[in-house]
Amino acid sequence: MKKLISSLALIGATIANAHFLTFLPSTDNVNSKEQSTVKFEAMFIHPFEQTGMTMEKPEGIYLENKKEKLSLKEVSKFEHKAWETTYKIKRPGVYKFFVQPEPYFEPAEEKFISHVPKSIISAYAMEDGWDEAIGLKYEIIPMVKPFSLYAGNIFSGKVLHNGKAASNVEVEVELYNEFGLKAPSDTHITQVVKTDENGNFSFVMNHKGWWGFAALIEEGEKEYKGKMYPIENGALIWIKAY
Amino acid sequence: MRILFFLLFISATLFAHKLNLFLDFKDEKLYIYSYFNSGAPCKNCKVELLDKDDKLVKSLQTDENGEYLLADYKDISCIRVEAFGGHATRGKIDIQNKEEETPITKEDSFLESIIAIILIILIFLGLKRVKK
Repeated sequence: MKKLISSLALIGATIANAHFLTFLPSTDNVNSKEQSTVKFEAMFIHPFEQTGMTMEKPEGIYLENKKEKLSLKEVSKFEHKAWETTYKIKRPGVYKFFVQPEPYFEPAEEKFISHVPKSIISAYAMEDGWDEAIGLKYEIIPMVKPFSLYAGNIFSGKVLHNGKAASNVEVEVELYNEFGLKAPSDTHITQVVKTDENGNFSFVMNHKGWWGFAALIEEGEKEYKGKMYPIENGALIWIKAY
Repeated sequence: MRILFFLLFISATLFAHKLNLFLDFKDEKLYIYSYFNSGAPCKNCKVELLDKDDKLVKSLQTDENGEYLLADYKDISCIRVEAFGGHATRGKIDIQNKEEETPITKEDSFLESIIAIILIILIFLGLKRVKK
């Protein structure tokens, strides 16, 4: 009975915690030909707890504003369907990649989830343009250079909605916890900060690793089995702290 | 004091941007590209071609885009780029990492032409027989 209760509690906690569309490149700094083929993993998971969910085939993984669509390969991450791709960087530059997923219906929350994560890579020490938007409907613009941060640094970002600053928006933050860290309570798993009147937010990354920032904006509706449900749109960015 | 302040200001400006060098192969030529972190190219900057003993073989200049395409690099081991004010960077030529360019496959147009002519003749003969 105790086992059953603890299992149910664990399931409950897992559902309660945030799911992130996690989009991780093999590196955020390409400095040599050996690193130039960057591998990307796109998975729908709970990053801190390291548990997976099924991610249906996304519409695509793109370089910059759909300039190039990358090929998709189905893989398994955390025992669930996920996606992988590679891109060969040939020239110095700042490269921005993003995933455009298919909206996913979450029955427990009675809403559709459409998270669009992006990842910014500097190639051969070029740093120009990291603070420029791709032009996504919901987007986080880094306000600090995103590919050279240490653990303990502040990450600041600006949330844009249709190109305009989005104020009073909740930004969920989670560490991709490949270190086996234990949270003191369930509420510590997903950190939450809010944007100010200019759409800005800040967060101190207190541990090395990949950090996901998800600005959540509920807007629009989509039909599921004859009923309309709201869509939770997420502007995501993944940042590595060294 | 003013001179000291001026010199400090100048030196601070000099170190504000790091000069980078990117070497690659393009159309059987060595592609030399020098740029600052900000993305600005190193325009008309001095390029020194050095041999395996680090001796100067030749001096060149990058163009307005910070680029130079070097056709003959067989005796060159190292490239050094110098910008105004003493910014400099250098890089080794990595022939090992030279990617094989996809050979341009030429279609055998002569053979294709012959096959096409034979096909036309066969169709012509076939039609003639049908008419008879």
